[in-house]
Amino acid sequence: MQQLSLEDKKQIYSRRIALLRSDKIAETQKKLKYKGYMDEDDYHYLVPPEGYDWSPVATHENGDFHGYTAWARNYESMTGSFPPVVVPYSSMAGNYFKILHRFRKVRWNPEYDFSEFLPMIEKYEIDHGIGQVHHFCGDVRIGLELGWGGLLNKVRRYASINALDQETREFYAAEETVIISIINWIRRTSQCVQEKLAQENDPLLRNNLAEMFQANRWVEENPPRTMREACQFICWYNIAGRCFNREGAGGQLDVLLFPYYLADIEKRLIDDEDAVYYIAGVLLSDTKYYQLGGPDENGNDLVNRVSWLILEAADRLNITANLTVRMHDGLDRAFFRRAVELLFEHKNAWPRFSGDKSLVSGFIQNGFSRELARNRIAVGCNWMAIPGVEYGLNDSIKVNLAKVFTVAFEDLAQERQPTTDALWQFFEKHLAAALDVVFKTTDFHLRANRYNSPELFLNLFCRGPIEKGRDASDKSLDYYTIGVDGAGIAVAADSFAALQQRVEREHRISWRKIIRTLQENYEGPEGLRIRQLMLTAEKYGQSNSLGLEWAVRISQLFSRLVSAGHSSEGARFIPGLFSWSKTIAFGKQVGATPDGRLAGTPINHGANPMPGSVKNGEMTTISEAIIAVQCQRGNTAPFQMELDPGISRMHGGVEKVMALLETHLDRGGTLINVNIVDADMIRAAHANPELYPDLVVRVTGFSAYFATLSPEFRQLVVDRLMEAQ
Amino acid sequence: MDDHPNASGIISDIQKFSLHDGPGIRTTVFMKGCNMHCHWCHNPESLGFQPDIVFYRTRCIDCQACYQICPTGALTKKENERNFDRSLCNHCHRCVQHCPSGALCLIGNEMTVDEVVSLVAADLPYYVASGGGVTISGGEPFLQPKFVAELLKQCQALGIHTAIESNMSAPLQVIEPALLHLNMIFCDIKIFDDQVHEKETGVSNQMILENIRQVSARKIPLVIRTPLIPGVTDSRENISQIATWISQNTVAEYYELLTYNPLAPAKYENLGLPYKLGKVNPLRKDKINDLVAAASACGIPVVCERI
Repeated sequence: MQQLSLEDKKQIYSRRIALLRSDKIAETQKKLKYKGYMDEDDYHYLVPPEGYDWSPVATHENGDFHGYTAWARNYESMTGSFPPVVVPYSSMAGNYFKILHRFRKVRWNPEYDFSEFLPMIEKYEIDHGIGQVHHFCGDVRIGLELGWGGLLNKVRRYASINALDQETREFYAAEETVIISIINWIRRTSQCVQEKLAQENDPLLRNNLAEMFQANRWVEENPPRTMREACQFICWYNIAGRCFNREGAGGQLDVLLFPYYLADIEKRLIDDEDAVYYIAGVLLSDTKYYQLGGPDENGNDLVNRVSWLILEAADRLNITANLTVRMHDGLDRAFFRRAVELLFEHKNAWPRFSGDKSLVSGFIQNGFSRELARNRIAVGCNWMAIPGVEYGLNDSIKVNLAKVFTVAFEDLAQERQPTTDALWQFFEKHLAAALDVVFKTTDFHLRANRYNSPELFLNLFCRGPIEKGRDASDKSLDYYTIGVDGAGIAVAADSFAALQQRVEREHRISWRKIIRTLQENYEGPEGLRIRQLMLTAEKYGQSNSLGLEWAVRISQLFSRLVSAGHSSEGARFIPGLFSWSKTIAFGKQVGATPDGRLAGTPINHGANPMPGSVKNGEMTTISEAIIAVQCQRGNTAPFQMELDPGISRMHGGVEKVMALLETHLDRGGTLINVNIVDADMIRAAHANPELYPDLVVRVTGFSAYFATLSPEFRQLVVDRLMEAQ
Repeated sequence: MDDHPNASGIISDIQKFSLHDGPGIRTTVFMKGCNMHCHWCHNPESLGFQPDIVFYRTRCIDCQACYQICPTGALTKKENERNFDRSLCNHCHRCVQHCPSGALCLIGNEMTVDEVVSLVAADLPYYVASGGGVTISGGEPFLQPKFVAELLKQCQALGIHTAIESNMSAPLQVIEPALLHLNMIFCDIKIFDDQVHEKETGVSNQMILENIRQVSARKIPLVIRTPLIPGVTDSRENISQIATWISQNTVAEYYELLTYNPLAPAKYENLGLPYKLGKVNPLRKDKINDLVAAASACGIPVVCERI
């Protein structure tokens, strides 16, 4: 390939990447048939070949497997069962078919009884931390420096020092098994590459397979030397970790790859086209979360040539990609602009944008240094982590504030003279009680999880577990900063606000009547009337509204109570606001609420207002509301932003979106997920508008809720978007 | 209400995150009341000076609260359909106050300059980051000139970029005070032929053209627009004449052709008003391109953001 001109090479690589893309789409279709709806990212794994049959060996009478040895042996057996995956036109080898964690049935070792917590867990329907796995970030640099062979030597060296008791011996033996399994897996794949090479006639593909073979053969045991080897190592890191326990945190990919890129460029081993091709292979290996750009420890911008090439690779691949651009004062403007352009070009909701300013100042509030806070990078759905040293259980522990509200409201209903003040006191009491369970169950997890689902993969990529002979969930890392997310803030806040406005201030309805109406889920004509009254009260999201006031109050209470959480295991608790994909599940737990929400219907997403609360979906208004409810401790309350693709065609449209993103993050926002409303979605909404109540379309000067438009007009918008595509 | 600096004005709506009414992210303040009567107007809620009751049929839950509270019998139910005889309405607005679902709403609020400035200023950081600001639109803003001038003055004092969308049909001395506080002007020349202009809008265009000439001489950035209304303004001849006049009499930043907004009929229905333009198909792309070409041939920059 080195003899080809850059342009020829670009054409060849682009064609290969396009092929990989169509393979990926076909595989996704296959997966849909094989698995049905997934309701989550598919992580780019493959459907097993026909006749593939593997299942783990149970080590407990409950049919499950627990602890170091059982996990390691099943991992060894499972990875050994995977047929090697080699695609001659891909830059990277390897893929997987199953996730070991997914085979578990009970997901907790019943020898460690936590039934004492169950009544309170069930009362508040808490997503607690017991038995939760990964959701912290490995430091892949450890592996890049040592290679799999070096990691094995490290494990053996520390085993000879630390393995003084049975438990520690078991720990090291399990780690050794995991590494050897991975080395064997790579070795089998290398052999497969060699076999494909022998069969391949196309000279260019032969060349690719030969390089692929050399890279894989080298990284079986050795630390990578070149860009291609580094990318191949990261692919194995991604695949091997994901199939262990669904681990999905990536890292600062541009910085990780830059030294290899630079060295190869200086030696004229590769050019940018080669680099893009390799990076596309990494992005295709897994949907890991990677941060791009951001400040280094001294505040200097980290955007480098590889950051651009990652965007380029993602652009050509155009599949799901979890790339987060870290916004800070020194960010390369051209890079930021390109990132926003890509949002509109592909409408695939990448990249995302995180805000350095408030993430750093918030994390410092927990007593950490600025330098440390800057190392805490975006590597998850809604979360940040310091690779290799911080254990967070991020995005795992959730308290449904709407549920806490309804428990408080049940208490209020027993009062002779209900008031919102009394309701607030009940809410405070129940939130404290719910969080108390969170703190205690987290301590329990930290004491016992190693006997359940140890972090045998991520331990290898952290600083502490191997050195100390203890699992990452067993206090072997430097920082235990446990994320606790509140969900449903809008439902709770709007409910307080509707009661205060309609019952206490306006006397439009009595306390007894609203209590009875909620018990009856707003049934009947009178229920419908009352529901409309409550729905049209002042909402969270609206400027200067009662809803906003209550949301701020709830956020501050939540933040204070979580931050003050006590841990007997030395952990700290960090508050955030996020529902993940649980808006529907959490909604099902909650009866009718005074904000006009019917029983069992979804709660709000993340920190966003309830759909329809903000007139015309005014983004600046929603932005300010979300800024106001940030917990300010370094975890996120993300802004889920929906934009009309037409903005990009407007004069200065990209700049306007840049300004919106920048201002939100500059004023205290933490993370923005952008959704560009897509033509396919519009078509679907056109057929069933009632399913898309919050879909906003920009017409010319106006924006309007799509569902409120006449069928004729909806058709017009559909036609317009079709034309735009 | 329009006689002193802290006067109040009648506002039909305040739209934040407005991206089509000038540079950057803006807040658009829609003033209520217009002296023109363009039968295609896409803001019919801004035509009258008094608050209007608007009825959103899809929001109505048929709770009958409005029938029961209406003292004049303007609201009744006929053949299972809600009926609103606006000629009987005494504008007490009790129906709006008692409507639980927001199906009956009032468009038109009396607000003080301070109140509007406070709402507008809330988005100041977004204006600064995007080069945006406030745009006063309507209705016709210069029908409430003192309020508008004071609003613009106070916004500018806060460092907010100011713009106006006006039909420029008020006497220059009425417009004059606001000009001191404007960073940008958007104005319409709808029809070049004066007689046709008067027939279609109810107003001659002579003062409009003179005002535009005067304003252009003040070096305030100026954008001139023509709404492309099928069968009314969309002839090649009309567009060419306007573009030629612009090139000879102004230093406009650009000439903008606005495509017809088909959202308007639903708005008329909500207000209980007849939509005299009738059913109109949006202009075809080739027709729009032809008009853009005709305007561009006059040597001025032409912009047309198709919907």
